[in-house]
Amino acid sequence: MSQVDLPLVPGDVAEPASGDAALPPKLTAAQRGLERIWATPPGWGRLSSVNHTVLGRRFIVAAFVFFAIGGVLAMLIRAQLASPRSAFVGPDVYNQIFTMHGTVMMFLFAIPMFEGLAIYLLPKMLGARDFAFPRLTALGFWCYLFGGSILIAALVMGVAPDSGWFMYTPLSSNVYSPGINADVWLLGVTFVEISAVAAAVELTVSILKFRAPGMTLAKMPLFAWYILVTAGMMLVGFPPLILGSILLELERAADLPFFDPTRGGDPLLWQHLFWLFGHPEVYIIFLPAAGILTTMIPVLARREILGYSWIVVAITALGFLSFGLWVHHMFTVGIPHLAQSFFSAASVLVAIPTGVQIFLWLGTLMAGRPRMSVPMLFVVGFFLIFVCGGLTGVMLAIVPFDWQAHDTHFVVAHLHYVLVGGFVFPMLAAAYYYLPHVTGREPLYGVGKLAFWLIFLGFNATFLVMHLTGLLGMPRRWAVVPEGYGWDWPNLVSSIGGFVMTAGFALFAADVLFQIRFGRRSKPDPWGAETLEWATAIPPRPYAFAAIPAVSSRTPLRDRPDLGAALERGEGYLAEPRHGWQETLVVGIADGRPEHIAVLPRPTFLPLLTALAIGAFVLSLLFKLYWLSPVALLLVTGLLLAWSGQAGQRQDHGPLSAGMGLALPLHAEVERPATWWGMLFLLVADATLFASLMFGGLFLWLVAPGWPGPAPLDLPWTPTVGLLVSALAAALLGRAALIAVPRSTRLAAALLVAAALAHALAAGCAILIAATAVPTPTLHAHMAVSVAVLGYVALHGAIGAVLAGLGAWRCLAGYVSAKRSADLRTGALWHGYTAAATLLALGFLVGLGRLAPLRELAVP
Amino acid sequence: MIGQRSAANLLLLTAGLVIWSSAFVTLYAALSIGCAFGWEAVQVGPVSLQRLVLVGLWLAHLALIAGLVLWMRGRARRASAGDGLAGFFGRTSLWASLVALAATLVNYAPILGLSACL
Repeated sequence: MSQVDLPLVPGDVAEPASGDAALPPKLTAAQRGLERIWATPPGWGRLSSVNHTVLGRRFIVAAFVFFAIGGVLAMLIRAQLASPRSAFVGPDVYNQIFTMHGTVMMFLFAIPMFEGLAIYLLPKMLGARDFAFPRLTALGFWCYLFGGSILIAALVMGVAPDSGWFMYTPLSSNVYSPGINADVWLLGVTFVEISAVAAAVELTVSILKFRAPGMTLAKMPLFAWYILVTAGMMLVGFPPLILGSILLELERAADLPFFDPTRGGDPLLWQHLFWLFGHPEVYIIFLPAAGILTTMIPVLARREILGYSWIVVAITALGFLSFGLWVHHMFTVGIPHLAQSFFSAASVLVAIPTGVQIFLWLGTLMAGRPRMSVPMLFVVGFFLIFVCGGLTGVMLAIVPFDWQAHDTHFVVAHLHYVLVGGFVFPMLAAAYYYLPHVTGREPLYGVGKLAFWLIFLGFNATFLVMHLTGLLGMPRRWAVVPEGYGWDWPNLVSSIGGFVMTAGFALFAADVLFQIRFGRRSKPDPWGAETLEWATAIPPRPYAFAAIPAVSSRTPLRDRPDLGAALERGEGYLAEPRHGWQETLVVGIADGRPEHIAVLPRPTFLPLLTALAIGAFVLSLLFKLYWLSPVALLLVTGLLLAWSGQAGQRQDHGPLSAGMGLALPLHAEVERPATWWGMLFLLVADATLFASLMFGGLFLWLVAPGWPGPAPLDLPWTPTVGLLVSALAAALLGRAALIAVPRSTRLAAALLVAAALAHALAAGCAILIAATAVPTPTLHAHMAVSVAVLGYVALHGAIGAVLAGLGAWRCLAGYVSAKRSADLRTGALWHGYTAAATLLALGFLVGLGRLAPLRELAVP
Repeated sequence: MIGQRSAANLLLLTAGLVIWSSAFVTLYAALSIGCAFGWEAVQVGPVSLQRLVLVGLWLAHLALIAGLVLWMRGRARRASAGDGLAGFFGRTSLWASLVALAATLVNYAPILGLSACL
């Protein structure tokens, strides 16, 4: 262990979080030290938590609260449809209810619930003490909570979104939705999406780098593989929706006609952008649930999972194929026949890797000695319901059938079979399986069984019969059930079933609360599982592992049943607390060899304050207080910059002891720490958003009416060259600063200041081009797209200027040295990407200008 | 052979499916452009310009994945000595590229027969 007197990271002193008296006496001295370092402070200090166990629990609880709200909305829908010509609510309110039901369940329940589960479980499964970016986890939580709260507040005030959860234009455009209802959706959901992208970056980096030594990718728990694929899908799947929401909000707020067919826009562009997100979203929801099933089934069957490698191949294929399905939601809008066949074939193909997993799970159960328990009941429920939902999905993938069933209750029944079967049932199984881990107590099983049967029977009564309602022709979203079509009795049955199901969920909630309060103390590993999450104390300590284990197989607890006790005794890596550091190990991506020690940030209010500032920005846009928006944006920037002061080292330490005879450098002294990888994956999401924007421009050129626009776009020569040169100069200066660091950090700082100025010049040039070449962007979609592209470039220049300036400050403040140059490497990624995007953007604008007149040659 | 420590293992696992994605985007774009500009009405020998372009793009992607599969097969064979990391990625990458080949074959096979545009 290093004896150097080091500054604490972050902060100056490692104060006890809650006082020694509160610590259980059985802890060893080392554990007491770890507890002091990792604990979340009490009282208001709880709001400063950045710990994955705490935040994972908060995500799960918040998601369940939103699920309850969504469930109440579902009951209101069923009350309305229980009898013909019901006067329970009028169409205006009904529109808000069904829109919010879908929105809440998709955005505020399903995604955050799996995020919460992954945040809580993954570090423990992987043998790490926390995620790569704990403050980002906290920011994600607060953004989710505030974004969701905006939506629910709008519901309470009667101004909730009412255009359906997929917000089709022109219904959601200003003409047909003049109030703030649609803005609430666009801004609130985008706020939540920030949380999702933050989580995706966090999950990807953490799974790839924050594992126990020896845990190669071939030995990694399959749940982590599932979440890795899911996070990758989120990085590529969410940006199209974020872009679509920004464009629609720009249309509503600034009259830029992206979706207005009278001015070169097209409502179909919204559908493409939405479903580019929307269909992968189904798999983004399903895959984590499948991951948790793959974790539970071998334990419940008492044998190893069949086909580990096959599952990895299947979910990799699923991650890609699920991006080739989005147009199957648009089969009726008028798409070329052959294109429909591509999407139809992909929709059928995707069933194969799904089927592979189902057969492997069934095979594992058949080859093992399954024990019937409450989690197993829900697993069986999953099989029965999800397989039915998958089969109706294959039916809907066939174009002629889809034309008949499109927009009917058959589709509603199908999607509920897939989502409730494929997500809610596995989550309920996981709840009963993992509650002993979270609470340290055993469930009251009798109640769980009754809850299962109520949910299972109620669900099928609601949705099995709903297939018939759809086949009888009832369109979805009708506020009243008309008489004389045979739709009365199936709707009544569905409503009765819905209330039975709700009773089941209420019983589940009561069961959980009773377990937390009255459950018997649980054994350390009540299911006999063999993965690392059961090697922690239950409920877990804030540091998860007193020592980080070395892993040599996929089943570390089978290899060494007393591993938990050994780790408690400090037999592992990083067992000795030092300097108030929150330390964990970082390993090679594929081979799991230890590479360095990451010192993670301690509790801070900055994520909360940043989320509040982002919230202020969102609300300023929502209530059209545009004078406040730049102020809020400045506040957000200032707060994000303040994060930097709590990260990094001001001196070189060289290799430090990691225990077990291993010496490793700190994260600040390696070329590619977690922040470098985080920036890389953030840029993947960013590039996807940019690609979606260019796709949008080309789509409008090819498909939208009213092209070419009224006047060709003529880029002014001087600012265009200025933009290009300054963006390239910024990238080169950023790279030069990196090269200069070993010679002089002051020189590096000077070069970064020059890079910041070059970025600022580039941003100014982009704004000047927009102002001079596109004076009236509201005239035509070509102009609007051009302004959006230039805005993207200007924004990247502005952010680049801030990042380069930050780099210069960190050079001067002593955070950078020849050994500690990762800050500049991470910044160089942004500078390089911005230069490439600028080049591409200018090429796109010139190209679109050249292509526009060719539209006159198109076949009408 | 790619080193075990490299993140390139993951890139190779996805390589075939990236080519499938490229085929999807390219074919959908070419089809949409062809339908908009009347390529179906332009005959090139026995087939329309539309179908010629689509079949060409399809075959090019199939050839690319087939080449990848062959390379992956050799890589998997070299790595099959143990059940270690190289063996795992050798196997999974080969199977993922085979899946990509099959998906590219089936997914775009309608090019051979179906009418192209509305």
